[in-house]
Amino acid sequence: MDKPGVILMPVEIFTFLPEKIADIISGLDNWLREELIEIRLRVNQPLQIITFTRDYFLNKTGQGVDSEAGYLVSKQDLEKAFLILTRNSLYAMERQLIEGYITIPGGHRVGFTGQAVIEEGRLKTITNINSLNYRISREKPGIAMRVIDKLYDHQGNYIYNTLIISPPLCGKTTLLRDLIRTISQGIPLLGLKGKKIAVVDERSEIAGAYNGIAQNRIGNRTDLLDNCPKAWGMLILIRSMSPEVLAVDEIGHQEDVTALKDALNAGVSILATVHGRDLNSLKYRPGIGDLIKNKFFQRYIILSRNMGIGTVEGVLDSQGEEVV
Amino acid sequence: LTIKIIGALLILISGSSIGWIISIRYLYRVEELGELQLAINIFDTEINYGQTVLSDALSFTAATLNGRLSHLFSETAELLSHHDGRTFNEVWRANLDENLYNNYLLKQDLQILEEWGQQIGSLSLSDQSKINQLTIKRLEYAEKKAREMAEKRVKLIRYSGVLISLMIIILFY
Repeated sequence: MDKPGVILMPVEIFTFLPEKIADIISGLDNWLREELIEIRLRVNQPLQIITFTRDYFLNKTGQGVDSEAGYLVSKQDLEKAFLILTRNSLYAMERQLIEGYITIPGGHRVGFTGQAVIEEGRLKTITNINSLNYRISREKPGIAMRVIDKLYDHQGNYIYNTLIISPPLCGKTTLLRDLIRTISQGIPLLGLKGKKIAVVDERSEIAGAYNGIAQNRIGNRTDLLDNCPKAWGMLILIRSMSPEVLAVDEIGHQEDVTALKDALNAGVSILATVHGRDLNSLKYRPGIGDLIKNKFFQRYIILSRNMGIGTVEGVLDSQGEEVV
Repeated sequence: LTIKIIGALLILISGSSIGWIISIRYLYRVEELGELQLAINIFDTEINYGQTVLSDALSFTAATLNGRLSHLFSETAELLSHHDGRTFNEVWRANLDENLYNNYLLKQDLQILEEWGQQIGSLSLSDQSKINQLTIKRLEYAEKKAREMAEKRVKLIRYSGVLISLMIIILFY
């Protein structure tokens, strides 16, 4: 039986795995299920899981073994998994197919590779899927407490425009989710009042919404716009929901940056994330680099995996100086 | 004499009813093949314009059909929405088998539906639509043949029911 208080692998993942694989994963020891961050299925390769500390190949009973003794994932396993993931509705997922990943209820992202189909110089779709990567998303209530005080202007009673920077798998979205929840709820002990916060969740990863309803805890003062492209979503929310704070995940496209500028000029505080190693590496990236150079953001949170996922390397101000 | 008349009438009514019941199967088959075309048309519109996920599109389709066929679609939709790890094709095939005696379709008609189920959900929007249109054409053809068969056989079977009853009456009396 699962220990109370332990965050095991969320059960909804099992319903999106083919039966055989789900059986193997459910045979894992509890401590492994607590640590699981990725499940990888590759055609004709052994089933692999990745935990916070290392990776394992699994045999038919869910035991960690050498790669030669691992359960070989078949083409049929992959095809079945992909059909289940798309809810037997590949035709309804064409936009996601171009992105290279699908988000399932609970905000878990499943990436895939296969054969790219190019039409008129553009990626039309990906077929013959040969690899799936289930990335398990977990809520970690309380992690925002490490940084929240540095993101708040007590005198002006507002949240600084903040950009969370890290490479993939360092906990950007998890931190953003908890910041949203914390800012929405407020922290009376620190004198922080709850704020109206609007979230554009293009890939349903922040709120883990199912049929538009948030499945993760994102706070009582949070308005969620699910499955909407970020650039449109930000403009819609500013006009319609009068937020004090606007949160978006993984900005990058030029249109996202343009929408962010509009939001910043509208006097709304911004919480955003971006892929990157550090502040300097982003300064030369088109779009986001301009925002950094023009000091649109007043706080940068740098994350890494140095001391485990979600390690806060530093909270910097607009000059790039550490905030004490 | 009264008993003889009542007996003769009973034989006549029973024989005619048996003929009527057998013949009605041909007419219901024509009706069901027509309904299936309508169903796949509605399904096609639903996924093309709404890009609705399969279970919802099937539920919507089920709502437009009569009891017998509606059950086939609604039950499939229900099972799919449970996310029990089965693909649409697996659920659909099992449901076709289970509903085999709940409708008037023949083996060759069910074959069309089974082949449709093998391709649904795993194709792009345009390919999905092509499969739907092809299936509608096949059902149209099956309906045409079924109608021709019904025209030939319905009257024949009904008359046969009456005539066989009369023959039995003459033989007995």
